[in-house]
Amino acid sequence: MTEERSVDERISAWLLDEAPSQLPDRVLRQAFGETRATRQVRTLLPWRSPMLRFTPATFAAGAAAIALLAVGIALSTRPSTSGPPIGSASPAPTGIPAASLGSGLVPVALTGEVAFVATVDGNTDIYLMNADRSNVRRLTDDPAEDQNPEWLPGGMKLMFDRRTQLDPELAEIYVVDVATGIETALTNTHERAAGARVSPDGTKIAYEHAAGVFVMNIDGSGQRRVFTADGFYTLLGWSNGASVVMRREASQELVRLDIASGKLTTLSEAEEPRNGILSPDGELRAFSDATHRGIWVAAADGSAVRHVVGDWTRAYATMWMPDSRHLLFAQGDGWLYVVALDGSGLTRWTEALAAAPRPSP
Amino acid sequence: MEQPVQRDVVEAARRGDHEAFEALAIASGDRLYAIACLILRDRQRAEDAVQETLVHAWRELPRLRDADRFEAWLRRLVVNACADQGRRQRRWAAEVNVVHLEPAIEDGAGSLADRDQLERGFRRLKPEQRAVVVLHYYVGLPVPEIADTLGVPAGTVKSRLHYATTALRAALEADGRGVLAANGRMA
Repeated sequence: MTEERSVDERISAWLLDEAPSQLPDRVLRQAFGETRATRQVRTLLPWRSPMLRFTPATFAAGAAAIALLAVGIALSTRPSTSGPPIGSASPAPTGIPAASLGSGLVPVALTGEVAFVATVDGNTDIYLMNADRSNVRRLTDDPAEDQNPEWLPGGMKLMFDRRTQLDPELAEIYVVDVATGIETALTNTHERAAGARVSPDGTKIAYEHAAGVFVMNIDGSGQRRVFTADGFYTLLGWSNGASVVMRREASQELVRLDIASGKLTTLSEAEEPRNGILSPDGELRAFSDATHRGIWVAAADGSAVRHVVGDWTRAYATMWMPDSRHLLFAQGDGWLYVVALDGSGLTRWTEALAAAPRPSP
Repeated sequence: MEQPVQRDVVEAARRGDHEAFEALAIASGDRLYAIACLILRDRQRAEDAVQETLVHAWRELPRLRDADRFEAWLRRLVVNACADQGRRQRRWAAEVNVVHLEPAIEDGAGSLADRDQLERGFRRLKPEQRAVVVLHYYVGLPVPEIADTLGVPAGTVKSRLHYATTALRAALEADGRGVLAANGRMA
């Protein structure tokens, strides 16, 4: 027993002696540089994609604008996929659209509306603005925290979480009609129902519940539990019309849940990437991390990793366009960019840092 | 050793208050760095792991469901970041088959033989075993809290701790001859 204590003490003494006393300041500076950039994006955009409302007509117009701009870029300056010095590009006018900056980067006029979360006077609600950052307006107004807005098919309604209590967490899923502001509760669990995601075909909604994962029809009918959780899981999105992808928080594993059978399949227990954002069709995952500089894309299961664009230390694949073929992302210079999955058409969209909304209460 | 963070600061950071997050990160940075250094035995990789941890924490903070679990959650993130770093290092080591060691610094705390034998024994442990040793012997967590931090059963923690302690004891009891090298050694 004496010897056992001695070994314990020797191990403890060695570890205490070996431990450094102070984290170098540069690590904090670098980390804060990255988190400040994502702060602005998080303020501007909600936490989950898709966040822009695109009707087929407006998206077609936006895609056409992107295509035209891409052609212009190709004719003027060929966009580099190996790390263009975007961060040092000359400042662009905040007005959109704007003329070419002469650097191969052009603000692009995206049509549609942006839903985002903002906290004003301590009240967290859903806000809207036009994609050109005009017409900022409050959509919900409730003392509870309204979060995670997600457009329903057709772009006329937004689904969101309303958290009424933090500890223990109580939240329900609501839908609000954007035109009328009329809210409808899709769940009435008196527990935690949150993180809802719409299936690719727009007919089903999956959501996290304190007891597991539930699926319901798009109107809230037909609710049924499809998975009993043995811990915390975060619903990332639909993998296809028949399964969803989740992250098991205890182990950070990605798992696929088959809705019909409730069977879990581990996707990438020991593989990278383990982060990223699923495309609307559930087929791809966009990501960026310390070993994958710039923007990268992989299959939903982590295979078929390929580089899209850039060589920045850090980029943030913040959202997918509804066509699952374009990405909107930010990098450290405080701008948002649009790029096609093949790396073409790298286009400056808007200035995230300057666009942090300041809506009136 | 640890000062509990204020719940309201965590809540503010959860809601997107970056200044609150910075305060939390500054308060936790040294501790996270020490944990990462001890697990990885490489300061550069530890810096990368801490940076990854802080960026990941900021991104995932809105999903933290219990502010009182912030510190345990942060420890889990840094251990996971160390595991990621470890995987990259293993791939590198598999190609090169040499792991560079920083030379030991004699500062009078503990015998050089102890340090070298513990170093050698520790480097032979798997990353998950190293994490358990650091959380138990350095952070001072009991087995249930380590299990909670790592998200594994308490029995698994006990098993890892038992194996690791046995291995370190064996390293301490081993003859230190032939262990020392001037500048480095083979992994």
